[in-house]
Amino acid sequence: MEVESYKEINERILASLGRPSLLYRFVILLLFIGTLVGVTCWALQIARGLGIAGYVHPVYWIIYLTNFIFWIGIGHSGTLISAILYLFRAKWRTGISRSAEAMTIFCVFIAALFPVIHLGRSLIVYWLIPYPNQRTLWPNFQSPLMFDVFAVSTYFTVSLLFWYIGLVPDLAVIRDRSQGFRRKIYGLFSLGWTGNHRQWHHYGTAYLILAGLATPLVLSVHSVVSWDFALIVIPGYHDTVFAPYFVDGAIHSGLAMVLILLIPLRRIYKFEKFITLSDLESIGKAMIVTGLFIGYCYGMELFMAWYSGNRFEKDMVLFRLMGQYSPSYYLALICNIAAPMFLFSKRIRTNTKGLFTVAVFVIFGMWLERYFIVLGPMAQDFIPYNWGTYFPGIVESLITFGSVCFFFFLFSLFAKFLPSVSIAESKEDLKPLLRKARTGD
Amino acid sequence: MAMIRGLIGVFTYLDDVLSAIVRLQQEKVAIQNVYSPTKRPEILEAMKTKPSRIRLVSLVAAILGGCSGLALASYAHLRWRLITSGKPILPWIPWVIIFFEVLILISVLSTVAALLIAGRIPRIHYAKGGYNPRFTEDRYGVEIYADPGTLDRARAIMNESGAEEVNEI
Amino acid sequence: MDHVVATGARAISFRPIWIVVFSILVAIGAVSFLVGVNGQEADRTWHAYLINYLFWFSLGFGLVLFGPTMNMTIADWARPTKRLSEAVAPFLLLSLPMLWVLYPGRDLIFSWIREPVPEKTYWLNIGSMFLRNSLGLIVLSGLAFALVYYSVKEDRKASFSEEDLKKGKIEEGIERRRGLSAWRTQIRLSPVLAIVYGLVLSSVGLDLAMSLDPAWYSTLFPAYYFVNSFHMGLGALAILSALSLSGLGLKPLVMPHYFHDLGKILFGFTMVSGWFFYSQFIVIWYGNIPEETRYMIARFRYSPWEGLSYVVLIITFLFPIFILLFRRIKMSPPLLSAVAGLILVGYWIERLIIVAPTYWKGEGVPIGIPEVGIAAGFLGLIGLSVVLFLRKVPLLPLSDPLFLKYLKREQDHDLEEERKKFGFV
Repeated sequence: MEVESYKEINERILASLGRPSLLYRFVILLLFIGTLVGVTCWALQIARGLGIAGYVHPVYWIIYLTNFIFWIGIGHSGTLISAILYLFRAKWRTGISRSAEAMTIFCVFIAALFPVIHLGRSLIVYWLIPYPNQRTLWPNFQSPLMFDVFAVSTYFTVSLLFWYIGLVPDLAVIRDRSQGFRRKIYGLFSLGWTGNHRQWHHYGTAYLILAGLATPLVLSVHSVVSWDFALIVIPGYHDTVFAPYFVDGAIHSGLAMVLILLIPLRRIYKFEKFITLSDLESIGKAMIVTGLFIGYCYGMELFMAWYSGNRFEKDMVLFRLMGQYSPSYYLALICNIAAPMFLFSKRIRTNTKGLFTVAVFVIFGMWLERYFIVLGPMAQDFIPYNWGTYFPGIVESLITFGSVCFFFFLFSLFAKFLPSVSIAESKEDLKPLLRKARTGD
Repeated sequence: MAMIRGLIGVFTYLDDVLSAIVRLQQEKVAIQNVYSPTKRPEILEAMKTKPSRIRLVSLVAAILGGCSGLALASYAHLRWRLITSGKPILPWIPWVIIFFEVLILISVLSTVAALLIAGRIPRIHYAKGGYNPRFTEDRYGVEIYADPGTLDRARAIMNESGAEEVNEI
Repeated sequence: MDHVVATGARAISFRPIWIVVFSILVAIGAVSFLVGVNGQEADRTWHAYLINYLFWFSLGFGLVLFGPTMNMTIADWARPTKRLSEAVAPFLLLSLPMLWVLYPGRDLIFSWIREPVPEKTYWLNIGSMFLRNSLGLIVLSGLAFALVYYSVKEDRKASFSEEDLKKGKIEEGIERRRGLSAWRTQIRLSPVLAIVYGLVLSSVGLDLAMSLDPAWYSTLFPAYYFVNSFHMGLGALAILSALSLSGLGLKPLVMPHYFHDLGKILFGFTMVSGWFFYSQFIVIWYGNIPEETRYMIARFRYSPWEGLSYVVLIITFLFPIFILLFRRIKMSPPLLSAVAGLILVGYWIERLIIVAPTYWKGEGVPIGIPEVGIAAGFLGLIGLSVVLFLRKVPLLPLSDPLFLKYLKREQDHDLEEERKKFGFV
């Protein structure tokens, strides 16, 4: 069952932009309240100090950093789907790229909040920006934290622009089909797009270039995030494998989040013709690959710790396997590696419930992975003075909860007010109407 | 009576559009715009569009951008010659990352700016001329401007090619 | 498409001159090796053999992985040259015996035999090292050969005629081929090969390359090794594809955008390999721990290796990344294979830089008769493998559903202009 005409594409996709139902308003309200809970806790933390978030010597990077890596990681799949698959001319990208790219923007935005939250005195974050100032101070460009500033802000800007440029023709479609205030707003953001040949020509070139430029960011941004850890000389952090390990983990968690978002979206808006089961199956197959490589990296870390003969590395592994954070390690192993292996079965791969379940396991497992990677080595490094355990308390847990609510809040707004499947690209995929096809010449 | 300056032909089928374009070009009628609901390489080929200059803009902006990132980092480090971890004052190895990220950022910003300029957007009065809202649904449009003598010939060509309607602008 | 019908089931008959040429190269290699190990420069010759073993078998395994990768991603653009990536399979069967060639020279190559490293004896001892790598190579080369076997088996039986290309019939043809048991076996074995490839090449890289400096370790090195190998395989495929245009008469079937796509994937993997290398380097550079930096300092701060490293950096990573941005370069077979050749030369030097600082105490760089001679020998072996294989098998994968899908796609396009422009007619 495939889409028949351009008109049908317009109608089906624009149908998702109708009046919000009562259920929708209710869900939005709940998500908003959840976000407010998180914001309140953040305000409390700014007022009372980082102590209420449970910071304890020597663990000075708590689950705020876990969340930071978690959210940025999820965003990478969006760019992989919309940019990298565009370069490969993969047909199955069309139905999912708009939502995936929107997911990226929201994830990166939320991720960027976490270093700010983690600062405590959040206002001083502007010290990181390299501009001539009255303090005559400049940041240290050799620090991985500065690399982070550049990488994350570049990634956010590029993703936002890539997503927006893709939206412009679709906003014109909505503009032409609305009246009054709606028409004015969509008209404003569609920049007066008319779809003449010159515009499409330059648009095509620009979009290809943007896709080409966004592609290396998938590798580089999460590598830079991983080097926040790998450049620190603590056993457990200082591993050369961190960059590919983190990037692969990012794609793994991102693909899971894409499934979690798209499977309900497809059902609610009846997008089965655009987001086919075969597209979802492809995502599932990709998850097997990323899961296997993560397993390889887990194994390599353990092996090298033993092979190196370095007592501190060995001790770090023993702590990971038997210390206070070991339950999260074993749980992460099951969720990240064992769960995707179920996708080897075609039956589970082509079943939306099966895919959704595996995706939920993977998301949970990936958060746990970030948890034991960030906290473990810091909780026990070289000398006993530097041993101390941290477990998440109420403040940081509520902030984490708030961030999750905020993400779904943003995505729900997106799904209701913007076309969550790309209209122009869906039309491009369809064979154009030819008179000679009709008359059989 | 208002002066008829041009015509807009509304087409349903792509091959009609292509034959209309070819015939209008043969008659030396200047085609102002060809509207379509989505990008169609056939139309671009028929209109003989040259490779977009945005590519050059992106490349140049990328190189300049990367170098400016390095320049910023170098300035900051020369301003305060602090030796951290025994590394050189201007360490090029970690600055590969700075170079790379700023390169991408500046190149993307320039590409978007170039697209806006080349596509002549944002435009407030986009509907001036032959624009028809059906062009974002499923119709193609061919917009031409000519002197009154040629207009009739153009109208005839469009009708013969199979235009659904031909309106005056 | 008549070409497909005409050449399809036939094997290529190479002129005997090629077999002679490659056999001579093998002889040169064997002589250089035997003379070297029995002479004064035994140490150097053994290491020259190791360098070439690491280079040529990485290239071979990377190349043979290409076909299964295309199977897994259901990509049809590379199907016409499927045989090229399979042609190294006979050569790969030699990976095990040629590993055992290292056995007599083990004392000279592996310093941890003469001076065992106490904490690492469980892993770095000669028995377990040869055992696990032998097992790994048997499984890996066996799997690769099995995949090739199933691929060729059905093609021998396949028939192909003009009828198959008629509209309507093509879909039927594709469906029928999808149901063939040989195809289903290939689909099932492809991911297995990929997994075994990752594990076995990690082991080979670890034992044969990383352990040469037993005090050093890097968690990324094994993965870096198998990613490099795939990159080398892509470069080799580019060169073989360019040669096959006239050499195998594939010109009517292979379109310019095949090279465009191959160039793009080569570009992508150049970036990925460069990224792997940089990840390893930046972590070690930044941490500045003597245990780790000993390796990097020996190779990037002391001459003669410093100069060579810059050469490798430029010809393997920086220059290809820049030059492969251009469409004209990617679409032109001679230019693309020139860039690929440059990349491969760079990787050979990289293998030299990995191995040589552990033993070379002399002046200058050890590139001389042992190294080049043995390299010629390995080149001869691969050449013989390709030539003898292609002589015995059908040239085109007629029973492959993706190949039929490719033909269907090409039918819909009018590519005359493009083919004329790039000299494909």
